[in-house]
Amino acid sequence: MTDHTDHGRTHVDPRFQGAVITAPEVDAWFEREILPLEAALMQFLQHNWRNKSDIADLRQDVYVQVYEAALKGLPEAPKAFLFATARHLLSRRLRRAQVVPFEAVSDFDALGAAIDEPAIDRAVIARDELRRLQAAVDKLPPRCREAFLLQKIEGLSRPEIATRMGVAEITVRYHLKEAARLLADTLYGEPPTVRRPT
Amino acid sequence: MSGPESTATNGGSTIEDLAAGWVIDRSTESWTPERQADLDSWLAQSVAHRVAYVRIQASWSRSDRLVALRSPMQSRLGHSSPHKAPWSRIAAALGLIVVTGVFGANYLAQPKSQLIETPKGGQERLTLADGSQIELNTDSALRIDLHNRNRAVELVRGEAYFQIKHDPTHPFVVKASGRKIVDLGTKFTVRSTPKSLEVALIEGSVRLENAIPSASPVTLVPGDIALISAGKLSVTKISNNRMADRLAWQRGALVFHNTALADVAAEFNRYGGTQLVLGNTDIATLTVNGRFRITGAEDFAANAHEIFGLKVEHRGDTIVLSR
Repeated sequence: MTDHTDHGRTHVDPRFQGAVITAPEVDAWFEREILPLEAALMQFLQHNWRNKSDIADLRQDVYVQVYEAALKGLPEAPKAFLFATARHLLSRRLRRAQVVPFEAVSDFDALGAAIDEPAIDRAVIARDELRRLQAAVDKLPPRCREAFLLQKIEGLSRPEIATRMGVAEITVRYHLKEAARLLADTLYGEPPTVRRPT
Repeated sequence: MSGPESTATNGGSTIEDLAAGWVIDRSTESWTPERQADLDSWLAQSVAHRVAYVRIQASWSRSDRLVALRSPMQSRLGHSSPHKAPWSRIAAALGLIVVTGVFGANYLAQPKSQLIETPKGGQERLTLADGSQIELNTDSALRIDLHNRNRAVELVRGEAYFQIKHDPTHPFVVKASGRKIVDLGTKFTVRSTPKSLEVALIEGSVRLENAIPSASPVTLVPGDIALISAGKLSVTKISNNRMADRLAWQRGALVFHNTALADVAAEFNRYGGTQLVLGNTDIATLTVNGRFRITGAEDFAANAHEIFGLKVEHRGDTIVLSR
């Protein structure tokens, strides 16, 4: 995530001290510090927000706020910052709704649990990585998985995949796009301890 | 697949969908500076775009690590294993001078049949007089009937690939496990184990006779895999590329798609060399995807360590995997 054009500088608020942070730097920080917390964040959101169909939007909004803040200065404690942002967002949403949904938990203390859970050791993540990747790939819908494997493992081009699968290139693109989207959800959104029954 | 439901929300799904499209297109050959400029301006439109893109790009790049599963797979064809004995040597050992022309040579004072065997890890390619080809996989035995005009072979054990020149007046017959597989112009494989017989049809057509006692013959079409086990016949269909993967042994490779670890170990072990042993039964059902060299049991063990966190213990020619 460091290889595309930098648009970040325009967002930087000069009042903040320290070096100017570029968008690619924030991208890298976001990937390194925030994305690995997604499973915990999703758990928190699911726990504290009743309408499950809002969760993906909420996550996206939290990310946007965290990212915007990071452009002004990278937070020292990413985890605490992420969950503080999430909590604020939920509170604001609740106030705006003016109705406290029955189950919209007032005790954001679940948050405490999320923060205090032992930090996941990076070595463990690394060792677990291939296993998780494999599990994530196994979870893809069959055609989607086939297209994905043909590209990543066999190294085939999109026209070649189309021929092998006997479908149009546009269909291959659709499958690959789904694969990209679903992999992100599984790799980041699901707790690392989940093991698929085999 | 969750395509249709991702229409309404303006914050999450639609942006994610677009982001996923950018991510996958960016890695294609047809990516142009113009497209990059489009992407840059899309990213600059809103932080929401950027965040969605960063997230999906990150996991997409991570998945490149799966390529680690792809062991370097040079074409090892022709010298696929240290055990391999060249056909000429086997022929000499058997006192068989030429195999080519064998079916027309029955007037020679020769034994009625010859047994061609491959050791563990060996593979053999035979070319028959009519141009038909047979490729024997590891630890296999094929008996060629030299005596009569029938084109007939018997797969005594193991696995073989047949690419047969069809001759309607002299059908080619493969016998295996007491069954007859009659060629109707075709490419197919036969694998015979003490417990089962499997016929996979790649091209053309074969007729499977007496698959189960008193059953009528079954004709297979390309993509079919017939499995006879415990007195029952089942026919399943697989895609062309899965079929190609099943034939990867001809190119010195093993390809696994959601294969149970126990089966993966058995598959490596068929080829001799380093034997994989499972130390606990509860790891037998871990599923494996990937492509490995036939002789790559050690590479595989290293991957199993990394992927499943299994302990890898070397004991002589054996590797014990355990949790």
